[in-house]
Amino acid sequence: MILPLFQIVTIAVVALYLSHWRAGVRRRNQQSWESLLARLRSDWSARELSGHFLWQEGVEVAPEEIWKRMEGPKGLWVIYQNARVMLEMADYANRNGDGVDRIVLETLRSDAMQIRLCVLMALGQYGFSQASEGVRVNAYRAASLYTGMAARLTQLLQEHAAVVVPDFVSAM
Amino acid sequence: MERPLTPEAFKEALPYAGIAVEAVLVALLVHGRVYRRLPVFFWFMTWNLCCDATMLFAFCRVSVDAYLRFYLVSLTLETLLEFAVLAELGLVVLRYNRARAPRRSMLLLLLMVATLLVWSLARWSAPQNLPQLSQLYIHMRQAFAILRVAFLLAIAWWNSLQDLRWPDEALRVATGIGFYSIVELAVNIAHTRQSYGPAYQYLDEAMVLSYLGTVFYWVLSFGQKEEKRQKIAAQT
Repeated sequence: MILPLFQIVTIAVVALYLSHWRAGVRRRNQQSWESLLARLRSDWSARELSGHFLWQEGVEVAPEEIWKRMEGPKGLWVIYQNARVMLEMADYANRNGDGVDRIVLETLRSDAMQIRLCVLMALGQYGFSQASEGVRVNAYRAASLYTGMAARLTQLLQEHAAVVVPDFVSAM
Repeated sequence: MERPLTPEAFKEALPYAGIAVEAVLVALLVHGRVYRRLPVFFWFMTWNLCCDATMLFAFCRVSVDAYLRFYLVSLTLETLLEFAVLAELGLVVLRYNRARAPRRSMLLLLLMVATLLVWSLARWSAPQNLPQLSQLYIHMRQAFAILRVAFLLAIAWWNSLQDLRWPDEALRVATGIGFYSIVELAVNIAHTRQSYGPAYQYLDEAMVLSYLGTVFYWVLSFGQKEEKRQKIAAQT
């Protein structure tokens, strides 16, 4: 009795996952700059961590204090979501601008992936051990990568889609 | 006098309808020059059309054994072509995003996880009241259905990790393959709990219908694009 149930549930989950993935890809293909901006979360900003956020890479806060400035998991989740949106913004600039450097795009893609990995690890650890040393280290790594990614994206937008930079800066 | 559409007549008409829809799709792929952008997909559909037409022609003229042997060979080649289509879609997406190919180790890992997940669904059994060749055919169908869904899952996971965009054409092809692959997997799993009889055949027909529906969807979507392109050309 258990096997048929397992088979039915797994097939349903696989089918749902594939249709959800397809819907996501379709939505992504049809996005405008405005819809991307609207998806950026602004209820927490990495300006708390660096006075030169968006213009320079790096965090100016010690790892011990970073958790407080991030407002705990809230800041981490904002970083997680914004990393994805920023990657889509880079894609948008690539589609609408001319000759965006492939290496810059690759770097942004790799940044986004690493950030999400760090955030997930930090949140996972937080679930078990609250703000332990490991959580703070992963949060610091995620924040540091996030500032680097944001600086690279700002530079890319300045070079290939300068008109949209003010909106981006204010949304971040 | 018109013949009423009985289930038997419907069953008889299915192969002809399939060949007709496949022929229209191949014509559209040539007309829209899709064969340049998705050559493997074009050859996959052309292969399907040729095979289906040959098998329909051979059905009444050769023995059941010879027919099944030919079918097993064509099924294997069709599946290999299908995997090649999925690989082609991956390459198209990489080119479209100007992204670097993922590490082989990562793709292998994703494929292994996906295969394990889908493999756990299979029970590897076939009705005992069928001849050996038919049982081999059923086992091959099960294995191919599982591998195809595993391949699709690996592509979807890799795509989610990389956040890549898909060109419309490639997404349509993936949608179609995904749809009938899931139906085929579900039918194959249901078959493992059945003995050969009318219910078994109904499920087989559902599988054929899902493939036909997919080809019809491709005809509509590739045809629509051509219509739109012509409208734009007429306006300019």
